[in-house]
Amino acid sequence: MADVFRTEHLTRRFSGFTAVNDVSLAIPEGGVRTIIGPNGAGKTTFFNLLSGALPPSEGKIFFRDHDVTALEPYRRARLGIARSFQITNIFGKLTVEENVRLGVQAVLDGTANFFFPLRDAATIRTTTDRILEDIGLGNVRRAQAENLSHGDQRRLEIGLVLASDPPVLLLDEPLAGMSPAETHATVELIKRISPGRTILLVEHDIDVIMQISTSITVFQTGTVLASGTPAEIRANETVQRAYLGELALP
Amino acid sequence: MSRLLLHPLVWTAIVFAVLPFVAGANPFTGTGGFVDIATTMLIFALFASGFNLLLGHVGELSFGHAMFFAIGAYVTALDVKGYSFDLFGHTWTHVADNNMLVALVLALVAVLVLSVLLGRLIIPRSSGVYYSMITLAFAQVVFFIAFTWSDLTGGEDGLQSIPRPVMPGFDPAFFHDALHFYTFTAVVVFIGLALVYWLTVSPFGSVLHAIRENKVRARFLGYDVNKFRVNAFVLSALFPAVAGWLWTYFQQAINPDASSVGYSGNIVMMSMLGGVQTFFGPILGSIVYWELQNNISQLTKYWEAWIGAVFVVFVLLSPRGIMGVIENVRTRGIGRTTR
Repeated sequence: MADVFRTEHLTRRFSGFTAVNDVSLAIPEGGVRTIIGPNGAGKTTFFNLLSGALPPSEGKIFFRDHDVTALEPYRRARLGIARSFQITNIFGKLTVEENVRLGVQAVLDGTANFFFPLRDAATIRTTTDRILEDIGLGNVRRAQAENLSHGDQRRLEIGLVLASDPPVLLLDEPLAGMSPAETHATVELIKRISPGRTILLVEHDIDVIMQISTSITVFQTGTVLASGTPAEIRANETVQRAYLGELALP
Repeated sequence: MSRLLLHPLVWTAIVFAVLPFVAGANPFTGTGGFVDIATTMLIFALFASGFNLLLGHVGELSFGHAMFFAIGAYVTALDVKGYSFDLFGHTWTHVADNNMLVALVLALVAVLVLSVLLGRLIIPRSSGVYYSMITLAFAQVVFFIAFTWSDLTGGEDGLQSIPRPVMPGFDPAFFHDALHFYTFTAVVVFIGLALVYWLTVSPFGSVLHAIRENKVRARFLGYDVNKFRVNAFVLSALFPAVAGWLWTYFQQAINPDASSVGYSGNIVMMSMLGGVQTFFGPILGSIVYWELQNNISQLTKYWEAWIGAVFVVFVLLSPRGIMGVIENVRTRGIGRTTR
Protein backbone atom coordinates (compact mmCIF):
# COMPACT_ATOMS: atom_id res chain seq x y z
CA MET A 1 0.00 0.00 0.00
CA ALA A 2 1.18 3.48 -0.79
CA ASP A 3 2.46 5.69 1.96
CA VAL A 4 0.03 8.32 3.22
CA PHE A 5 2.71 10.96 3.11
CA ARG A 6 6.13 10.96 1.58
CA THR A 7 8.40 13.97 1.75
CA GLU A 8 11.51 14.49 -0.33
CA HIS A 9 14.19 16.84 0.94
CA LEU A 10 11.52 18.95 2.61
CA THR A 11 12.96 22.21 3.92
CA ARG A 12 11.40 25.32 5.42
CA ARG A 13 13.40 28.38 6.38
CA PHE A 14 12.24 31.44 8.29
CA SER A 15 14.54 34.42 7.70
CA GLY A 16 17.83 32.74 8.47
CA PHE A 17 16.47 30.01 10.71
CA THR A 18 15.79 26.54 9.30
CA ALA A 19 12.78 25.01 11.05
CA VAL A 20 12.60 21.88 8.91
CA ASN A 21 15.84 20.81 7.31
CA ASP A 22 15.99 18.36 4.39
CA VAL A 23 13.48 15.86 5.75
CA SER A 24 12.84 12.80 3.58
CA LEU A 25 10.31 10.70 5.38
CA ALA A 26 7.67 8.11 4.50
CA ILE A 27 4.63 7.79 6.71
CA PRO A 28 2.84 4.49 6.09
CA GLU A 29 -0.92 4.08 5.88
CA GLY A 30 -2.85 3.30 9.08
CA GLY A 31 -2.21 3.53 12.78
CA VAL A 32 -1.20 6.34 15.10
CA ARG A 33 2.02 7.91 13.84
CA THR A 34 3.43 10.14 16.51
CA ILE A 35 6.01 12.88 16.09
CA ILE A 36 7.94 13.90 19.19
CA GLY A 37 10.82 16.18 19.85
CA PRO A 38 11.87 19.08 22.05
CA ASN A 39 10.31 22.51 21.62
CA GLY A 40 11.53 24.15 18.42
CA ALA A 41 12.36 20.82 16.79
CA GLY A 42 10.13 21.66 13.81
CA LYS A 43 7.15 19.41 14.57
CA THR A 44 4.45 22.04 14.08
CA THR A 45 6.22 23.48 11.04
CA PHE A 46 6.29 19.96 9.57
CA PHE A 47 2.52 19.73 10.21
CA ASN A 48 2.01 23.13 8.59
CA LEU A 49 3.89 21.95 5.52
CA LEU A 50 1.89 18.71 5.26
CA SER A 51 -1.45 20.49 5.64
CA GLY A 52 -0.55 23.38 3.35
CA ALA A 53 -0.53 26.14 5.95
CA LEU A 54 3.00 27.00 4.85
CA PRO A 55 4.70 26.54 1.48
CA PRO A 56 8.02 24.69 1.69
CA SER A 57 11.24 26.50 0.84
CA GLU A 58 12.49 23.39 -0.90
CA GLY A 59 11.46 19.80 -1.45
CA LYS A 60 8.29 17.97 -2.30
CA ILE A 61 5.32 16.45 -0.49
CA PHE A 62 3.41 13.45 -1.84
CA PHE A 63 0.03 12.36 -0.53
CA ARG A 64 -0.69 8.78 -1.62
CA ASP A 65 1.82 9.27 -4.45
CA HIS A 66 0.19 12.49 -5.69
CA ASP A 67 2.36 15.56 -5.57
CA VAL A 68 0.51 18.00 -3.30
CA THR A 69 3.41 20.40 -2.73
CA ALA A 70 1.65 23.33 -4.38
CA LEU A 71 -1.92 22.38 -3.45
CA GLU A 72 -3.97 24.92 -1.46
CA PRO A 73 -5.08 23.95 2.08
CA TYR A 74 -8.77 23.64 1.17
CA ARG A 75 -7.91 21.25 -1.66
CA ARG A 76 -5.82 19.09 0.67
CA ALA A 77 -8.71 19.09 3.13
CA ARG A 78 -10.95 17.85 0.34
CA LEU A 79 -8.50 15.03 -0.38
CA GLY A 80 -9.21 13.84 3.15
CA ILE A 81 -6.45 15.47 5.17
CA ALA A 82 -7.93 17.12 8.24
CA ARG A 83 -5.92 18.94 10.86
CA SER A 84 -6.39 20.35 14.31
CA PHE A 85 -4.43 23.24 15.72
CA GLN A 86 -2.10 23.55 18.66
CA ILE A 87 -3.78 26.79 19.67
CA THR A 88 -7.52 26.23 19.74
CA ASN A 89 -8.92 27.35 16.42
CA ILE A 90 -12.70 27.21 16.37
CA PHE A 91 -15.55 29.52 15.36
CA GLY A 92 -15.89 31.26 18.73
CA LYS A 93 -19.01 33.30 18.06
CA LEU A 94 -20.96 30.39 16.59
CA THR A 95 -22.65 27.65 18.59
CA VAL A 96 -21.05 24.28 19.22
CA GLU A 97 -23.56 22.68 16.90
CA GLU A 98 -22.90 25.19 14.10
CA ASN A 99 -19.16 24.55 14.44
CA VAL A 100 -19.59 20.83 13.92
CA ARG A 101 -22.20 21.24 11.19
CA LEU A 102 -19.81 23.45 9.22
CA GLY A 103 -17.28 20.64 9.37
CA VAL A 104 -19.87 18.11 8.24
CA GLN A 105 -21.23 20.11 5.33
CA ALA A 106 -17.71 20.95 4.11
CA VAL A 107 -17.39 17.42 2.71
CA LEU A 108 -20.73 17.57 0.97
CA ASP A 109 -20.05 20.87 -0.67
CA GLY A 110 -16.97 22.87 0.04
CA THR A 111 -16.34 24.45 -3.32
CA ALA A 112 -19.60 24.49 -5.20
CA ASN A 113 -22.48 26.48 -3.87
CA PHE A 114 -25.38 25.03 -2.12
CA PHE A 115 -28.43 27.18 -1.98
CA PHE A 116 -30.69 24.16 -1.95
CA PRO A 117 -29.59 22.29 1.14
CA LEU A 118 -32.68 20.13 1.65
CA ARG A 119 -31.37 17.05 -0.16
CA ASP A 120 -28.58 16.65 2.37
CA ALA A 121 -30.21 18.20 5.42
CA ALA A 122 -31.03 14.86 7.08
CA THR A 123 -27.52 13.45 6.53
CA ILE A 124 -25.95 16.60 7.89
CA ARG A 125 -28.16 16.55 10.98
CA THR A 126 -27.56 12.90 11.90
CA THR A 127 -23.80 13.15 11.30
CA THR A 128 -23.63 16.33 13.38
CA ASP A 129 -25.54 14.65 16.22
CA ARG A 130 -23.27 11.59 16.12
CA ILE A 131 -20.12 13.69 16.30
CA LEU A 132 -21.47 15.83 19.14
CA GLU A 133 -22.07 12.60 21.07
CA ASP A 134 -18.63 11.25 20.12
CA ILE A 135 -16.84 14.27 21.54
CA GLY A 136 -19.21 14.43 24.50
CA LEU A 137 -20.58 17.89 23.81
CA GLY A 138 -24.17 16.94 22.99
CA ASN A 139 -25.49 18.63 26.11
CA VAL A 140 -23.86 22.00 25.33
CA ARG A 141 -24.67 22.09 21.62
CA ARG A 142 -26.47 25.44 21.84
CA ALA A 143 -23.68 27.17 23.78
CA GLN A 144 -21.44 29.69 22.09
CA ALA A 145 -18.14 27.93 21.40
CA GLU A 146 -16.02 30.65 22.99
CA ASN A 147 -17.85 30.15 26.31
CA LEU A 148 -16.81 26.51 26.65
CA SER A 149 -14.12 25.41 29.08
CA HIS A 150 -10.63 24.92 27.69
CA GLY A 151 -10.97 21.13 27.67
CA ASP A 152 -14.32 21.27 25.88
CA GLN A 153 -12.87 23.68 23.31
CA ARG A 154 -10.03 21.23 22.67
CA ARG A 155 -12.58 18.48 22.17
CA LEU A 156 -14.60 20.68 19.81
CA GLU A 157 -11.37 21.23 17.90
CA ILE A 158 -11.13 17.45 17.44
CA GLY A 159 -14.84 17.36 16.56
CA LEU A 160 -14.23 19.84 13.73
CA VAL A 161 -11.52 17.54 12.39
CA LEU A 162 -13.68 14.42 12.72
CA ALA A 163 -16.71 16.07 11.16
CA SER A 164 -15.59 15.43 7.61
CA ASP A 165 -14.87 11.73 8.42
CA PRO A 166 -11.34 12.14 7.04
CA PRO A 167 -9.05 9.16 6.33
CA VAL A 168 -6.05 11.17 7.54
CA LEU A 169 -5.96 13.27 10.70
CA LEU A 170 -3.20 15.62 11.78
CA LEU A 171 -3.61 16.33 15.49
CA ASP A 172 -1.32 19.00 16.88
CA GLU A 173 -1.03 18.55 20.65
CA PRO A 174 -4.67 17.61 21.20
CA LEU A 175 -4.05 17.00 24.92
CA ALA A 176 -2.39 20.36 25.67
CA GLY A 177 -3.77 21.87 28.85
CA MET A 178 -6.28 19.11 29.54
CA SER A 179 -7.05 17.78 33.01
CA PRO A 180 -6.24 14.07 33.67
CA ALA A 181 -9.90 13.14 33.25
CA GLU A 182 -10.19 15.09 29.99
CA THR A 183 -6.93 13.56 28.78
CA HIS A 184 -8.25 10.09 29.48
CA ALA A 185 -11.51 10.77 27.61
CA THR A 186 -9.65 12.23 24.65
CA VAL A 187 -7.18 9.33 24.45
CA GLU A 188 -10.13 6.93 24.45
CA LEU A 189 -11.68 9.00 21.67
CA ILE A 190 -8.48 8.83 19.60
CA LYS A 191 -8.29 5.06 20.11
CA ARG A 192 -11.91 4.66 19.11
CA ILE A 193 -11.60 6.64 15.89
CA SER A 194 -8.21 5.28 14.80
CA PRO A 195 -9.31 2.03 13.06
CA GLY A 196 -9.40 2.61 9.31
CA ARG A 197 -7.60 5.95 9.56
CA THR A 198 -4.10 7.29 9.71
CA ILE A 199 -3.54 9.64 12.63
CA LEU A 200 -0.50 11.87 12.74
CA LEU A 201 0.00 13.09 16.25
CA VAL A 202 2.27 15.68 17.78
CA GLU A 203 2.27 15.20 21.54
CA HIS A 204 4.35 15.71 24.66
CA ASP A 205 2.63 13.34 27.10
CA ILE A 206 5.10 10.44 26.97
CA ASP A 207 2.83 7.95 28.77
CA VAL A 208 0.08 8.53 26.25
CA ILE A 209 2.52 8.37 23.34
CA MET A 210 3.93 4.99 24.40
CA GLN A 211 0.42 3.69 24.95
CA ILE A 212 -1.25 4.59 21.66
CA SER A 213 1.47 5.03 19.03
CA THR A 214 2.01 2.56 16.20
CA SER A 215 5.29 4.25 15.36
CA ILE A 216 7.23 7.22 16.64
CA THR A 217 9.39 9.68 14.74
CA VAL A 218 11.76 11.85 16.74
CA PHE A 219 12.54 15.35 15.47
CA GLN A 220 15.47 17.41 16.60
CA THR A 221 16.52 20.82 15.23
CA GLY A 222 14.53 20.31 12.06
CA THR A 223 15.79 16.85 11.18
CA VAL A 224 14.65 13.30 11.87
CA LEU A 225 16.73 11.83 14.68
CA ALA A 226 15.12 8.39 14.78
CA SER A 227 12.07 6.49 13.71
CA GLY A 228 10.58 3.21 14.90
CA THR A 229 8.11 1.42 17.15
CA PRO A 230 7.62 2.69 20.71
CA ALA A 231 9.84 -0.14 21.99
CA GLU A 232 12.64 0.69 19.54
CA ILE A 233 12.48 4.37 20.39
CA ARG A 234 12.53 3.59 24.10
CA ALA A 235 15.67 1.50 23.57
CA ASN A 236 17.40 3.99 21.28
CA GLU A 237 20.35 5.55 23.08
CA THR A 238 20.61 8.63 20.88
CA VAL A 239 16.99 9.45 21.56
CA GLN A 240 17.45 8.86 25.27
CA ARG A 241 20.35 11.25 25.37
CA ALA A 242 18.79 13.89 23.16
CA TYR A 243 15.27 13.94 24.37
CA LEU A 244 13.69 11.27 26.51
CA GLY A 245 16.30 11.61 29.23
CA GLU A 246 15.04 15.09 30.01
CA LEU A 247 11.63 13.69 30.69
CA ALA A 248 12.96 11.07 33.15
CA LEU A 249 11.64 8.06 31.29
CA PRO A 250 11.05 5.14 33.64
CA MET B 1 -48.32 29.87 15.87
CA SER B 2 -46.48 32.18 18.24
CA ARG B 3 -43.21 31.16 16.57
CA LEU B 4 -44.66 32.14 13.21
CA LEU B 5 -45.75 35.51 14.61
CA LEU B 6 -42.20 36.15 15.80
CA HIS B 7 -40.70 35.37 12.40
CA PRO B 8 -38.61 38.33 11.17
CA LEU B 9 -40.42 38.41 7.83
CA VAL B 10 -43.79 38.73 9.58
CA TRP B 11 -42.41 41.71 11.47
CA THR B 12 -41.08 43.12 8.20
CA ALA B 13 -44.54 42.87 6.65
CA ILE B 14 -46.12 44.61 9.64
CA VAL B 15 -43.58 47.43 9.47
CA PHE B 16 -44.20 47.80 5.72
CA ALA B 17 -47.96 48.04 6.28
CA VAL B 18 -47.66 50.73 8.95
CA LEU B 19 -44.81 52.75 7.45
CA PRO B 20 -46.67 54.89 4.87
CA PHE B 21 -48.92 56.21 7.64
CA VAL B 22 -46.18 57.17 10.05
CA ALA B 23 -43.09 57.92 7.95
CA GLY B 24 -41.77 61.42 8.45
CA ALA B 25 -43.81 61.85 11.64
CA ASN B 26 -42.70 64.97 13.44
CA PRO B 27 -43.69 65.35 17.10
CA PHE B 28 -43.24 69.14 16.99
CA THR B 29 -45.35 69.98 13.97
CA GLY B 30 -47.77 67.10 14.34
CA THR B 31 -47.40 66.15 10.68
CA GLY B 32 -46.55 62.71 9.36
CA GLY B 33 -47.50 59.96 7.00
CA PHE B 34 -45.44 61.05 4.01
CA VAL B 35 -45.71 58.14 1.61
CA ASP B 36 -42.71 59.20 -0.47
CA ILE B 37 -40.47 59.12 2.58
CA ALA B 38 -41.70 55.59 3.30
CA THR B 39 -40.86 54.58 -0.29
CA THR B 40 -37.36 56.03 0.09
CA MET B 41 -36.90 54.13 3.36
CA LEU B 42 -37.81 50.82 1.73
CA ILE B 43 -35.60 51.27 -1.32
CA PHE B 44 -32.62 52.04 0.89
CA ALA B 45 -33.55 49.18 3.23
CA LEU B 46 -33.10 46.82 0.29
CA PHE B 47 -29.89 48.55 -0.79
CA ALA B 48 -28.45 48.37 2.75
CA SER B 49 -29.57 44.78 3.36
CA GLY B 50 -27.79 43.62 0.20
CA PHE B 51 -24.67 45.52 1.19
CA ASN B 52 -24.90 44.05 4.68
CA LEU B 53 -24.55 40.51 3.31
CA LEU B 54 -20.90 41.51 3.10
CA LEU B 55 -20.39 43.73 6.13
CA GLY B 56 -22.56 41.79 8.56
CA HIS B 57 -22.22 38.24 7.34
CA VAL B 58 -18.81 37.97 5.66
CA GLY B 59 -17.33 40.74 7.78
CA GLU B 60 -15.94 42.70 4.82
CA LEU B 61 -16.51 46.39 4.25
CA SER B 62 -17.14 47.37 0.64
CA PHE B 63 -16.91 51.12 0.40
CA GLY B 64 -18.17 51.26 -3.18
CA HIS B 65 -21.55 49.58 -3.22
CA ALA B 66 -23.18 52.75 -4.58
CA MET B 67 -21.71 51.80 -7.98
CA PHE B 68 -24.06 48.82 -8.19
CA PHE B 69 -27.02 50.97 -7.12
CA ALA B 70 -26.09 53.62 -9.69
CA ILE B 71 -25.56 51.12 -12.51
CA GLY B 72 -28.94 49.52 -11.77
CA ALA B 73 -30.48 52.99 -11.86
CA TYR B 74 -28.69 54.22 -15.01
CA VAL B 75 -29.34 51.03 -16.99
CA THR B 76 -33.02 51.33 -16.12
CA ALA B 77 -33.11 55.02 -17.08
CA LEU B 78 -31.32 54.38 -20.38
CA ASP B 79 -33.56 51.47 -21.29
CA VAL B 80 -36.68 53.44 -20.47
CA LYS B 81 -35.60 56.69 -22.16
CA GLY B 82 -33.49 55.30 -24.98
CA TYR B 83 -30.14 56.72 -26.02
CA SER B 84 -28.02 57.63 -28.99
CA PHE B 85 -24.30 58.27 -28.79
CA ASP B 86 -21.17 57.97 -30.93
CA LEU B 87 -18.37 55.62 -29.98
CA PHE B 88 -15.67 53.92 -32.04
CA GLY B 89 -17.00 55.57 -35.21
CA HIS B 90 -20.41 54.06 -34.82
CA THR B 91 -23.66 55.55 -33.60
CA TRP B 92 -25.27 53.37 -30.94
CA THR B 93 -28.97 53.87 -30.56
CA HIS B 94 -31.64 52.35 -28.43
CA VAL B 95 -35.29 53.26 -28.79
CA ALA B 96 -37.17 54.04 -25.60
CA ASP B 97 -38.78 50.90 -24.24
CA ASN B 98 -40.90 51.25 -21.16
CA ASN B 99 -41.09 47.65 -20.06
CA MET B 100 -40.18 47.47 -16.39
CA LEU B 101 -39.26 43.79 -16.46
CA VAL B 102 -36.86 44.20 -19.38
CA ALA B 103 -35.25 47.09 -17.51
CA LEU B 104 -34.92 44.94 -14.39
CA VAL B 105 -33.28 42.08 -16.27
CA LEU B 106 -30.87 44.47 -18.02
CA ALA B 107 -29.97 46.14 -14.72
CA LEU B 108 -29.34 42.77 -13.06
CA VAL B 109 -27.27 41.45 -15.97
CA ALA B 110 -25.12 44.60 -16.09
CA VAL B 111 -24.43 44.45 -12.35
CA LEU B 112 -23.91 40.68 -12.45
CA VAL B 113 -21.23 40.99 -15.14
CA LEU B 114 -19.46 43.87 -13.40
CA SER B 115 -19.58 42.32 -9.93
CA VAL B 116 -18.28 38.94 -11.15
CA LEU B 117 -15.36 40.66 -12.89
CA LEU B 118 -14.61 42.94 -9.94
CA GLY B 119 -15.06 40.18 -7.39
CA ARG B 120 -12.65 37.88 -9.16
CA LEU B 121 -10.18 40.70 -9.61
CA ILE B 122 -10.31 42.19 -6.12
CA ILE B 123 -11.12 39.39 -3.69
CA PRO B 124 -8.22 36.94 -4.12
CA ARG B 125 -5.83 39.88 -3.87
CA SER B 126 -7.11 41.90 -0.97
CA SER B 127 -8.87 41.99 2.36
CA GLY B 128 -9.39 44.46 5.18
CA VAL B 129 -8.64 48.10 4.53
CA TYR B 130 -7.22 47.42 1.05
CA TYR B 131 -10.45 45.74 0.07
CA SER B 132 -12.47 48.76 1.23
CA MET B 133 -10.18 51.17 -0.58
CA ILE B 134 -10.15 49.28 -3.87
CA THR B 135 -13.95 48.96 -3.92
CA LEU B 136 -14.08 52.71 -3.27
CA ALA B 137 -11.67 53.31 -6.15
CA PHE B 138 -13.84 51.36 -8.59
CA ALA B 139 -16.95 53.22 -7.44
CA GLN B 140 -15.10 56.47 -8.16
CA VAL B 141 -14.40 55.24 -11.68
CA VAL B 142 -18.12 54.64 -12.16
CA PHE B 143 -18.84 58.08 -10.69
CA PHE B 144 -16.49 59.84 -13.10
CA ILE B 145 -17.84 57.94 -16.08
CA ALA B 146 -21.36 58.99 -15.08
CA PHE B 147 -20.13 62.52 -14.52
CA THR B 148 -18.16 63.03 -17.72
CA TRP B 149 -19.76 60.85 -20.40
CA SER B 150 -22.49 63.41 -21.12
CA ASP B 151 -23.65 61.84 -24.41
CA LEU B 152 -24.78 58.73 -22.58
CA THR B 153 -25.38 59.68 -18.97
CA GLY B 154 -26.36 63.33 -19.24
CA GLY B 155 -23.23 64.27 -17.30
CA GLU B 156 -23.61 66.27 -14.13
CA ASP B 157 -27.33 66.84 -14.65
CA GLY B 158 -28.02 63.16 -15.21
CA LEU B 159 -31.16 61.89 -16.90
CA GLN B 160 -34.54 63.44 -16.23
CA SER B 161 -38.23 63.01 -16.98
CA ILE B 162 -38.17 59.25 -16.76
CA PRO B 163 -41.71 57.90 -16.88
CA ARG B 164 -43.18 55.81 -14.09
CA PRO B 165 -43.28 52.11 -14.89
CA VAL B 166 -45.97 50.49 -16.97
CA MET B 167 -47.23 47.06 -16.07
CA PRO B 168 -49.46 45.03 -18.36
CA GLY B 169 -53.00 44.86 -16.99
CA PHE B 170 -52.65 48.10 -15.06
CA ASP B 171 -53.91 51.55 -15.95
CA PRO B 172 -50.87 53.64 -17.12
CA ALA B 173 -51.78 56.21 -14.47
CA PHE B 174 -51.71 53.55 -11.73
CA PHE B 175 -48.12 54.07 -10.63
CA HIS B 176 -48.47 57.84 -10.51
CA ASP B 177 -50.32 57.50 -7.24
CA ALA B 178 -47.81 57.65 -4.37
CA LEU B 179 -49.48 54.92 -2.34
CA HIS B 180 -49.72 52.61 -5.36
CA PHE B 181 -46.03 53.11 -6.04
CA TYR B 182 -45.29 52.51 -2.38
CA THR B 183 -47.23 49.24 -2.48
CA PHE B 184 -45.36 48.13 -5.58
CA THR B 185 -42.03 49.03 -3.91
CA ALA B 186 -43.04 47.22 -0.73
CA VAL B 187 -43.78 44.01 -2.65
CA VAL B 188 -40.46 44.10 -4.51
CA VAL B 189 -38.45 45.00 -1.40
CA PHE B 190 -40.21 42.33 0.64
CA ILE B 191 -39.31 39.66 -1.90
CA GLY B 192 -35.72 40.92 -1.91
CA LEU B 193 -35.51 40.91 1.89
CA ALA B 194 -37.01 37.42 2.04
CA LEU B 195 -34.20 36.28 -0.27
CA VAL B 196 -31.61 37.99 1.93
CA TYR B 197 -33.10 36.33 4.99
CA TRP B 198 -33.12 32.93 3.35
CA LEU B 199 -29.49 33.33 2.23
CA THR B 200 -28.32 34.19 5.72
CA VAL B 201 -30.00 31.20 7.39
CA SER B 202 -29.05 28.73 4.62
CA PRO B 203 -25.94 26.52 4.82
CA PHE B 204 -24.39 29.03 2.40
CA GLY B 205 -24.99 31.73 5.01
CA SER B 206 -23.40 29.72 7.77
CA VAL B 207 -20.26 29.27 5.65
CA LEU B 208 -20.18 33.07 5.30
CA HIS B 209 -20.39 33.35 9.09
CA ALA B 210 -17.57 30.82 9.41
CA ILE B 211 -15.45 32.94 7.06
CA ARG B 212 -16.28 36.04 9.10
CA GLU B 213 -15.23 34.33 12.33
CA ASN B 214 -12.17 32.44 11.19
CA LYS B 215 -10.97 32.34 7.58
CA VAL B 216 -8.07 30.03 8.32
CA ARG B 217 -10.24 27.44 10.02
CA ALA B 218 -12.81 27.56 7.22
CA ARG B 219 -10.02 26.89 4.72
CA PHE B 220 -8.74 23.88 6.66
CA LEU B 221 -12.24 22.45 6.85
CA GLY B 222 -12.15 22.34 3.06
CA TYR B 223 -14.01 25.51 2.08
CA ASP B 224 -12.82 27.46 -0.93
CA VAL B 225 -13.00 30.70 1.02
CA ASN B 226 -12.32 33.05 -1.89
CA LYS B 227 -15.02 31.46 -3.99
CA PHE B 228 -17.55 31.99 -1.23
CA ARG B 229 -16.36 35.57 -0.82
CA VAL B 230 -16.78 36.23 -4.56
CA ASN B 231 -20.25 34.70 -4.61
CA ALA B 232 -21.31 36.72 -1.57
CA PHE B 233 -19.93 39.85 -3.26
CA VAL B 234 -21.94 39.19 -6.41
CA LEU B 235 -25.14 38.45 -4.48
CA SER B 236 -24.70 41.53 -2.36
CA ALA B 237 -24.33 43.63 -5.52
CA LEU B 238 -27.57 42.38 -7.07
CA PHE B 239 -29.85 43.74 -4.32
CA PRO B 240 -28.55 47.32 -4.73
CA ALA B 241 -29.15 46.91 -8.49
CA VAL B 242 -32.82 46.18 -7.82
CA ALA B 243 -32.92 49.13 -5.42
CA GLY B 244 -31.45 51.32 -8.19
CA TRP B 245 -34.10 50.04 -10.60
CA LEU B 246 -36.83 51.11 -8.14
CA TRP B 247 -35.07 54.41 -7.43
CA THR B 248 -35.06 55.48 -11.09
CA TYR B 249 -38.80 54.88 -11.42
CA PHE B 250 -39.45 56.53 -8.09
CA GLN B 251 -37.34 59.67 -8.58
CA GLN B 252 -38.03 59.77 -12.33
CA ALA B 253 -34.49 61.11 -12.59
CA ILE B 254 -30.97 59.92 -11.90
CA ASN B 255 -27.68 61.79 -11.55
CA PRO B 256 -24.05 60.85 -10.77
CA ASP B 257 -24.57 61.40 -7.04
CA ALA B 258 -26.10 57.92 -6.91
CA SER B 259 -22.61 56.45 -7.39
CA SER B 260 -20.84 58.91 -5.10
CA VAL B 261 -18.80 58.25 -1.97
CA GLY B 262 -21.64 59.88 -0.08
CA TYR B 263 -24.10 57.18 -1.09
CA SER B 264 -21.64 54.39 -0.39
CA GLY B 265 -20.94 55.90 3.01
CA ASN B 266 -24.61 56.41 3.88
CA ILE B 267 -25.24 52.73 3.32
CA VAL B 268 -22.42 51.81 5.66
CA MET B 269 -23.85 54.22 8.22
CA MET B 270 -27.42 52.89 7.94
CA SER B 271 -26.24 49.30 8.37
CA MET B 272 -24.09 50.10 11.39
CA LEU B 273 -26.73 52.35 12.93
CA GLY B 274 -29.24 49.51 12.79
CA GLY B 275 -26.80 46.74 13.68
CA VAL B 276 -24.82 44.75 11.13
CA GLN B 277 -25.06 41.18 12.33
CA THR B 278 -28.85 41.20 12.27
CA PHE B 279 -31.54 40.91 9.64
CA PHE B 280 -33.45 43.99 10.85
CA GLY B 281 -30.41 46.22 11.36
CA PRO B 282 -30.10 47.67 7.85
CA ILE B 283 -33.91 48.01 7.51
CA LEU B 284 -34.16 49.84 10.80
CA GLY B 285 -31.05 51.86 9.96
CA SER B 286 -32.60 53.09 6.72
CA ILE B 287 -35.89 53.99 8.42
CA VAL B 288 -34.15 55.89 11.24
CA TYR B 289 -31.77 57.63 8.84
CA TRP B 290 -34.53 59.00 6.61
CA GLU B 291 -36.73 59.85 9.58
CA LEU B 292 -33.91 61.89 11.09
CA GLN B 293 -33.06 63.39 7.72
CA ASN B 294 -36.64 64.54 7.23
CA ASN B 295 -37.09 66.04 10.68
CA ILE B 296 -33.67 67.58 11.21
CA SER B 297 -33.48 69.07 7.72
CA GLN B 298 -36.62 71.08 8.50
CA LEU B 299 -34.79 72.71 11.39
CA THR B 300 -31.30 73.23 10.05
CA LYS B 301 -29.39 72.95 6.82
CA TYR B 302 -26.61 71.25 8.77
CA TRP B 303 -28.73 68.11 9.21
CA GLU B 304 -25.95 65.82 8.02
CA ALA B 305 -23.76 66.91 10.93
CA TRP B 306 -26.51 65.98 13.40
CA ILE B 307 -27.04 62.57 11.81
CA GLY B 308 -23.27 62.14 11.95
CA ALA B 309 -23.39 62.92 15.67
CA VAL B 310 -26.10 60.31 16.23
CA PHE B 311 -23.97 57.81 14.32
CA VAL B 312 -20.90 58.58 16.42
CA VAL B 313 -22.89 58.14 19.64
CA PHE B 314 -24.05 54.71 18.51
CA VAL B 315 -20.61 53.58 17.37
CA LEU B 316 -19.17 54.56 20.75
CA LEU B 317 -21.93 53.38 23.08
CA SER B 318 -23.59 50.54 21.22
CA PRO B 319 -21.36 49.01 18.55
CA ARG B 320 -24.13 46.58 17.71
CA GLY B 321 -26.43 49.45 16.76
CA ILE B 322 -30.10 49.89 17.54
CA MET B 323 -30.66 46.13 17.37
CA GLY B 324 -27.97 45.71 20.03
CA VAL B 325 -29.86 48.09 22.32
CA ILE B 326 -33.14 46.26 21.67
CA GLU B 327 -31.51 42.92 22.41
CA ASN B 328 -30.04 44.19 25.65
CA VAL B 329 -33.40 45.51 26.75
CA ARG B 330 -35.04 42.20 25.89
CA THR B 331 -32.49 39.90 27.52
CA ARG B 332 -31.44 41.94 30.56
CA GLY B 333 -34.39 44.17 31.30
CA ILE B 334 -34.72 47.88 30.70
CA GLY B 335 -32.30 50.15 32.48
CA ARG B 336 -29.20 47.98 32.40
CA THR B 337 -26.22 49.42 30.59
CA THR B 338 -25.27 48.19 27.16
CA ARG B 339 -22.26 46.41 28.64
